[in-house]
Formats: sequence, structure tokens, C-alpha cells
Amino acid sequence: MTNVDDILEQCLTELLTGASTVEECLARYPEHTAQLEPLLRTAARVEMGSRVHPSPVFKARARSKLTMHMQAYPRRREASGFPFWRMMAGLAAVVLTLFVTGTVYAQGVLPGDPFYEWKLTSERAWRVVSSNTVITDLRIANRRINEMNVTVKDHDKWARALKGYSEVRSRLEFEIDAETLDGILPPTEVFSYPNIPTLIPEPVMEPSKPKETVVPATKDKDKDQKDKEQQDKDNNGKDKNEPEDTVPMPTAREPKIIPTIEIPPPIH
Amino acid sequence: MRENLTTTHSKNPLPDERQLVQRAKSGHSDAFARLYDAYVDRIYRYIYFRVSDDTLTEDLTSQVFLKAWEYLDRYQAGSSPYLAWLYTIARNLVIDHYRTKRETVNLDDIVHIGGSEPSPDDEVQNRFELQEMRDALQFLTDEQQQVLILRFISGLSTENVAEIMEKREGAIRALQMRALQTLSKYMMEKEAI
Repeated sequence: MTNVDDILEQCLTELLTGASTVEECLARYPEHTAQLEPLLRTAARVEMGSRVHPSPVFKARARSKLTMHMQAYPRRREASGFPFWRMMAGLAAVVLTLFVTGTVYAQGVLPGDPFYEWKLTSERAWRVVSSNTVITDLRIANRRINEMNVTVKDHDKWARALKGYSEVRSRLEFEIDAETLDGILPPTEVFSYPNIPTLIPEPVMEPSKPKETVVPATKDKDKDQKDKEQQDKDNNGKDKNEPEDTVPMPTAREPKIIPTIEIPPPIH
Repeated sequence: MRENLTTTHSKNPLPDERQLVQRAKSGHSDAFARLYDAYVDRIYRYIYFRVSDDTLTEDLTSQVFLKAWEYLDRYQAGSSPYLAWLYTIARNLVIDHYRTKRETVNLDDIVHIGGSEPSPDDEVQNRFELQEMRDALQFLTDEQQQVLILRFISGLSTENVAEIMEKREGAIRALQMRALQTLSKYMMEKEAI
């Protein structure tokens, strides 16, 4: 070993561990004594600093201060057990989030979509918790009609929406007298692929008996109005997959002659 | 990376350091108090030679452990020894102190010297030498001070000092050589006076 750095490092380590003294180290490397001696003696003097200790009074006082600080600012104790329940709680949160997200998404889907059954299930739940099942059923019927409007190019999907309409209308027949119901919703037989009437009267708590019998009208009678409505609908820029908001809802107190539907443009 | 720092002056007082740190992180103050008992002397000694005021030394030593409790979550057990983390906190506190305050030297400070009870004459001599060393270290650069204190007063290996100062071992050895040369020269000049 000829490098002075290496010799110094070795001597310092031996000095610190007590393996050798300054004199012993210098005796081993007499040719480097002039360089090593001041450095080793200085290191030995610095090493004396290891004898410094804090006073017991200070240590006790600082410990007491630390204890008070730890009590004043406790660290959050990690739950030591029940990792299973913590995992289950996390899983439940994920499932709930997916359920809510899926339900919200399902409201805009059409027949044929994998989420369509989810939509129907959520509507059944909606009806169960609703305070007024008549209004809820009318709104559900409205959804089915709009589904027919946007699935007009696909007979199977359209038929599925019509079946749903028929079901909800059957329910309403037990809840509203036939004449009133006919004033609000057209009979199922009125619908024939691909001609669908648009009608969506605003449901009311106590539907009044309409003055006019609501029947499908001719296409020309309200053509201008329907064109305007379609234009308004397009201008609003709403999601065309959310049919519920696309059709204006005149009030039942102002019954309108329900026209034969004008087939809306296909939804892309 | 070794779990604990190896020192040339004493064996590590806490073979179960890692478990204590984990328990302290979980909020067990008794575990943290044991860590305090194990390392307070070393942190005190480190700060003692970085500042020249005993009251300040005590104040900063206390602060090291208060901050360690506060920021214990930031300490990653696998990345570095706990004592190295404490030294880093101590170093930052000393630097912050010098940035914000003017240091005053109080030569009447009491120095506590360990070991067997010395005679009154020896104690006076020891106090004088330690205070002389303390003052002499103040003439070194911050990094030179750190290397000498960690290496010869804390008794850490070059490797451990390199870890704490985040430098290569070669750089630590070079710093150590320059620090010893500067200090040696300063002391010879002082003794010549």
C-alpha cells in the first residue's frame, strides 16, 4: 500500500476502533510520518469529542417535553387487525360506485344494449319507491315511446320498446280510467312499425278528463310544429341517446291532438 | 444498505430498531421514547460541535426529536438507517439556525464529560480542550465539520458518512483529508501563539 490516502484511512480506522495507536501507525509507515503525524494527532483530538454527553437533567427535561408533545399531537394508530374487514369495506365502496355509475349510464341506453335490462330494473325500483306510481308509469311510458323513435330503423329493438310500452300501459289501465288514459297515451294498437306517434303529456296528480278524444292525427296537421320541435331539439345539442329530454311535454290540462309520428332522423 | 449504523465507539443500542420505528409510526409513543433514549446522546454530541452554545445545543437536540415524531411517516425504513435520518434532521436544523440567527459564543457553557469521574483538574483540562476543539471546528466549512464530527465524534464508518451526506466514499475521504489538514494547521498556529 503506497497511496497516502489509503494509509491514512487505514490508520484512522484502527485509531477509532482502538486497534492501534498513533505511534504504532507511524512506526509502520516511517516514510510517511511527516504527512501522517499531524493528521492522525488532530483526528485523535477530534475523537475526544465522543466523550461529550448531555446532562441527565437536560435528557429528562427533553424527554418530558417530547412525551407531552406526543400526547398533544398523537400519531394516527394504524388499525392492527381486521384487514379482512378493511378490504371488504373497500370492495363494498368499489361495488357501490360501480352500481351508481352503471345505473346512471343505463338510463340513456336503448333496447338491445347490454345495460337495457339494468335500465328496466332501475325503473322497477323507481316505481316501487315512487310516491305516485301513475306519474312514474307515465314517465316510463314516455321513455318507451322515445326509444321507439330512435330505434325506428331496427325492428327488433323497436319491438322491444313497444313491448315495454304495452306493459306500462297495461299497468296504467288499472290506475286510470280508460277514457282519461286514452287522452294521455295512445293505445298500443296505434303504433305500427315504422309509424310512431309522439305524444308526451305532462303527467299530473289527478289527470283531468280531456275534452277531446286523443287520436292519431294526420301527418300534415302538425307538420310545421314537429319540424320546429325537431329543430329546437337539434339546436339544444342534447345527447340523442337520452330520448327522455328530446320531446316536449305539453300538459295534460291542455290535451293536444296527437299526430301520427313523423319519423325522426336516425340517431348516429 | 445496512439496517443500523455501525459505530466504532459503541455497539448499536437498539437491535430491534426497525420494529420500534414501525411501532412509533403506528402511534406508540413508548416505542418512540425508546428511540429517543437510544440516540439522544449522539444527536446532542453532533449538534454540540456544530454550534458553540450549550443552550442552543439542547434546544436543537429537542427539536430534532419533535420533528422526527412529526415527520416519522416520511422515514422509509429500508432506504437508510434511522440514526442517519436523525442526523439529517439535525444537520438541517443547524443550517436553518445559521441562516436565521446570529451565533453567539458563550465560553461559560457547561460541558458534560462522560466516562469515569475525573479529578477536578482533569475535568477543567478536558473542558478546556473540548471547548478549544469546538471553537476550532467552527473554522471549517460546513461539509468538513460534518465529516469530522460524524467520522470521529459519532464514530461512523466512511461508508455511513457517505450515506448521510449523500456523497461517494471517495469524496468523503477527500473532505476528511482537507478537514484534518486545515484543523491541524489551525491548531499548530494557535499553539505557537
